[in-house]
Amino acid sequence: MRKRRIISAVLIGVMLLSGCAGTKSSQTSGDKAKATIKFAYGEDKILQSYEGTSAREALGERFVEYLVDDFEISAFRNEYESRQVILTAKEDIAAYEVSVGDFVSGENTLPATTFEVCHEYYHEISTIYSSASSMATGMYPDAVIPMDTAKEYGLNKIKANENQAVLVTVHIPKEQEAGIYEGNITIKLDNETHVVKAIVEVLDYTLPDEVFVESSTQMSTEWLMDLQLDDSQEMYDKVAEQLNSFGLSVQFLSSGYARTFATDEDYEAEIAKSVEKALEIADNPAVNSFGIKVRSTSHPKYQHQLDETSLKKFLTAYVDKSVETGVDILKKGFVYMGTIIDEPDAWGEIAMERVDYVCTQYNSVLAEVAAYAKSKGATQEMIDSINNLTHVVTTYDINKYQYVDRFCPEPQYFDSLATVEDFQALWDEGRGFWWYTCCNPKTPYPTTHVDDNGVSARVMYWMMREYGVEGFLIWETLSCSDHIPEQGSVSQGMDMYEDMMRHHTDVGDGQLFYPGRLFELETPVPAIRLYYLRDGIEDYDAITDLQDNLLPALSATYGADISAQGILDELYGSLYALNKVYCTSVDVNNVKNILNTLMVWADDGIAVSDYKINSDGTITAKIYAPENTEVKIDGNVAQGTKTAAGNGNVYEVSAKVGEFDVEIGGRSLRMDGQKMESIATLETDAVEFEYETGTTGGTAQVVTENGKSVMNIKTTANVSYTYYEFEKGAFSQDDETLILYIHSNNSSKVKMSIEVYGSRNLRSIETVYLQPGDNVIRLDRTCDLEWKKIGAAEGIRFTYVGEDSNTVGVDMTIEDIVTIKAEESR
Amino acid sequence: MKKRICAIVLLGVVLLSSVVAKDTISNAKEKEKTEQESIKSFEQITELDNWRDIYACKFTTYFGRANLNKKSDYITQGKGSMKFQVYGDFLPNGGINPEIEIALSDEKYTDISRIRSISFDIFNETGKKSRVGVSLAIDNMNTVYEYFDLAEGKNQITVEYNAKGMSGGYDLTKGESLCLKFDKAMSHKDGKKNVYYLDNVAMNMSLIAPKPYEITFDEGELCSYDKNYQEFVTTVGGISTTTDYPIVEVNKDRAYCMDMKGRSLKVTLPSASGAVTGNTKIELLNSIWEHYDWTQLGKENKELVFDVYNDNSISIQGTFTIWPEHLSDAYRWSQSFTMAPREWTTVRVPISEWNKLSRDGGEVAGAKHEPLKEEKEWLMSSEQYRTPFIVFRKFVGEDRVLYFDNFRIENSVAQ
Repeated sequence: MRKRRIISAVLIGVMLLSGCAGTKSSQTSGDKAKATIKFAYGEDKILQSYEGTSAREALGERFVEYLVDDFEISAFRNEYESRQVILTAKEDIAAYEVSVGDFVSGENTLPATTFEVCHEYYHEISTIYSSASSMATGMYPDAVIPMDTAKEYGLNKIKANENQAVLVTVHIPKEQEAGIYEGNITIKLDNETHVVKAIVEVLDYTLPDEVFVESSTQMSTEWLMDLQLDDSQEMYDKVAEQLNSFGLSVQFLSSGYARTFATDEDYEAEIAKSVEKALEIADNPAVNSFGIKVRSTSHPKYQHQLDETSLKKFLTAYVDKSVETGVDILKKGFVYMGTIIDEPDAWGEIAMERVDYVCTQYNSVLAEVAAYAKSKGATQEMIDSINNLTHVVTTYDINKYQYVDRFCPEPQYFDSLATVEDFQALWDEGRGFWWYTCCNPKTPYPTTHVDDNGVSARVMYWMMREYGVEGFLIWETLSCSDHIPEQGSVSQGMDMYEDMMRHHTDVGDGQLFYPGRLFELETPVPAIRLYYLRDGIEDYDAITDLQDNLLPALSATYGADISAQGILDELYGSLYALNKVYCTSVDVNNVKNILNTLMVWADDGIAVSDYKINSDGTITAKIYAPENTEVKIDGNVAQGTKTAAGNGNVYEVSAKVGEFDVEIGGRSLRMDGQKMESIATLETDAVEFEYETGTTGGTAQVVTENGKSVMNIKTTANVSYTYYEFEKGAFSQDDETLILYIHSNNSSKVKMSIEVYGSRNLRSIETVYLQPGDNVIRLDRTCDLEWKKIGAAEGIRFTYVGEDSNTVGVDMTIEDIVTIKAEESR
Repeated sequence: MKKRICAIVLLGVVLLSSVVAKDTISNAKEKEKTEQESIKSFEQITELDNWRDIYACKFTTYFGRANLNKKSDYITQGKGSMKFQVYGDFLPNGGINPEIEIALSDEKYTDISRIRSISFDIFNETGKKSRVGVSLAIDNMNTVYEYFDLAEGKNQITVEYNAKGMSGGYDLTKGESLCLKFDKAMSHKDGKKNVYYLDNVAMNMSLIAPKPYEITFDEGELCSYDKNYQEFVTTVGGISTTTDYPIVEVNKDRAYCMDMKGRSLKVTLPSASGAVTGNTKIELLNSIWEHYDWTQLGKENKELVFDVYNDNSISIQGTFTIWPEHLSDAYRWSQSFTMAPREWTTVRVPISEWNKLSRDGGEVAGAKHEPLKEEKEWLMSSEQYRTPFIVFRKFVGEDRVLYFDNFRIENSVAQ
């Protein structure tokens, strides 16, 4: 349950907009206007009405808070960014229209053609499937229909007292000059015309064309005729290109189906087509991955196995074409053997045992094909691509399967920081992990469901970037399936728009398109959820570009090991608690503004590095900048020192928490309005042990280290729990972040659960690995814990798991425990 | 789905009203009933005037492309028609024939017990002669596809249905859809040329439903083909097949009836060219099988027996197959039999064996399986029922003709 916003007004990334002239005016607006005109972020789902039920009214109050008077967008070049125009009709409106004109900045024009204006179609959601959801039943926007089409088909009506959201999306051209562009949004409500001033800030950074996060977006031809009345390869290609425009890659490039019972001749034809399509996208940066088809054969024990012969045929055909053309076609390839091993943990012992067997088969095929490639004169790059050809298995159990290459769990299986570390340890073995979502998980985990707010899908990519999730698998974007038997197995035409409950267990699943030709549109109508996903993908790509490209280059320039991890952790912590999304669109916008600043600065040679919150209540950071850059710290021009490489300066920042303020080139990075407090207890009787009979428990001792009193805790072997009491209520739902500074004296890592116990109950916060040496355990969005069930917090219980704690006990020093909360909440 | 009753129907109703008012004699009522049966009414099955109508049609995967046409040249009723390009999936051998299903009603079922014919206009703009197969889907079964040659340009197709006869084998209150089947294009290029326009899809009905045939069974009789209703109780189909289904018709030439008595069923098995996949089948409709308690017959050690004449110069193999619907498609029970040339063969199928299902090690319904034998209780429970059928392998060369007769139940020969 979300309690409150956490860093709004705390971190302010952009100062430019606030300095502009008023952003809104209207020729005919006022009390007499037929509708109120407001704006909302792109990710907020504004229901058609908030009347009718108490849950809906409560939801309405929340969303009304996020409506603003001004239309302002900041976006990178080559980035898409959306805002919504929210019209609330005071009386019936027979025809409304929203249009956008050219935007101008000095002599530069951001043409109207860079904007897309779409009517948001409302669908009835009669059940909210997640009990943890704060959403309510009602009419939800999802299908996004071009404004002109909405007009042509008479969809542009608004009933009195109802909302109509209009999605305005700008795609900034790559060659656009940076600057503040002003323009008008014209809103016609029957015979009324309202003109609203709007601003688009084009940021001086260009998002790369390359999409960094891989995807396997399943698009089954079997639904294409139902969806679009056309299941030709041409239509398939059009929808695939549409997915590409949203940053996603289609699973298979060929619409053909590699039937098990197809004749050899048919199979050869399918292989030839697949290879040609892979060659076509080899140089297309918008397509970063494609799936290679596999077939199964029977197996006496495992029932199904990989048809090695057919995979070899496929791969050798790719190799032949690579050698022939000199293009490393398989570089973007992957294999998802969903027809052989799919969600094995749900299908019993044989299915689970099949996994490693099939993976072994797969590896042996790769070895043979690599040898074949070598014999055909393939380049080393091509041979490497074969050896590195990943396969993805939809499982979470990294301990069970020895040969799985890319694990692909649903996000809810990333259930602790320790689990994240376990997954990340796969990297040492050359393995990795993706995520996927379909009917599960449900909110508060990230979803693409219609009945979840849009921030969920966007924020998922921030999680993926933080944890190192390389790819995302979606099933099934075109699905017209109808799980209600009385209705038949397929939903078609208007039913796709009107019957959102047909999936029975969730709303929307992975289905991301609606029939377009119903409105004479040559491509399907996209769901607004694709816009959320694209925003998330762009965020992921920007951070990747920052960490993998821009900052390494600056590290070389300045002769320093520059890392943005600390400041990025601040952003991640503002958005989610591990794998649960509680933030609002306001939080997302604040965080995006900070990312904007980091990207623009990095593009200008400016880097924020080594940002960290220290146990003494200070934030320290280093700012690297070119010569002659004016850097203001806390409002004063700072003096830097030469960098190690001599070509630039480094500025040391040290500020109290809540007073961090750096300004460069008209942009500022602030973290203000926050307060940090220590809640550590330095009394030995605040520590208790719970242990098995026959053990002595442990000792707690206050010691002095580096002039500071700290608590040393030593447990004997087999002690299960340590209770660490603090002042009752010192940690509460007002706190946004809890940071534990712990030094471990153990020689190996200890798995440790951290729980808060209160007057009513005990609730888990996190499970972490306590590494030997210093640990800073940052636990964000603690305001979203189940505080009603916890009551007044009285302390923390540490639970030790694993061999080290059982054999030698735990030896750790709690150097401090601090909370951070927004000052105004006190 | 909108339905339009043509003016001729209203006129018919008015005329009839006056007749009914004046005639109170019982034989006159019979006469009136016959007349009502003979007077036609037309109902548009679909207008095909807007995109919603087009979207209401169902298409097989790898069909091609469907459009709303507004060109008057190709409209024969209303304001629009459906243009469609039949592609198929271009694979040389695989894939099924493209098919359109036009629902008879917005609801799942519509009552077609008064049906006399289905008619539609179809423009063949492929630049060559082609053909269309027509079938009605009724209660999860299909009537035998009737094929019609399509000349270039406009074709008016009418498919006659005998509701009286069909009512013996089908529950006509559960009409589902009109199915139109086309030959697939063999190349992408051809697909674009395979253009058709469809309009004026109508059902021709009598004002009242004809009295159904009385369904009777002599002792031990399943289907002798000697009774009138039995003309309508056999249907045909294919399993993963790409070409035509068998053609069935009741034979009245006693030379091809067992013991030169009664009638028999003539089955023409179509040949197939090239490397084809799949098999064809014939089967008796549910209404016939449902007459008996097959579990009980199995316990009594009865056998299903039928006679078949192979009117060809070579031996032919058939397979009697049971494929329980509720189980995985891979499970089935089957018994093959060989029909010697120019001879009657009597096939005996022990009913008690039908529960002993097996799963082949080969490919079934698109998936491969390991072999497995298993006894499963499924026989003839209403939820678990699927009609047994007789399968024939595809072959090349001339079409082949078989005559089936006297499907019956007898004691086991072993007894």
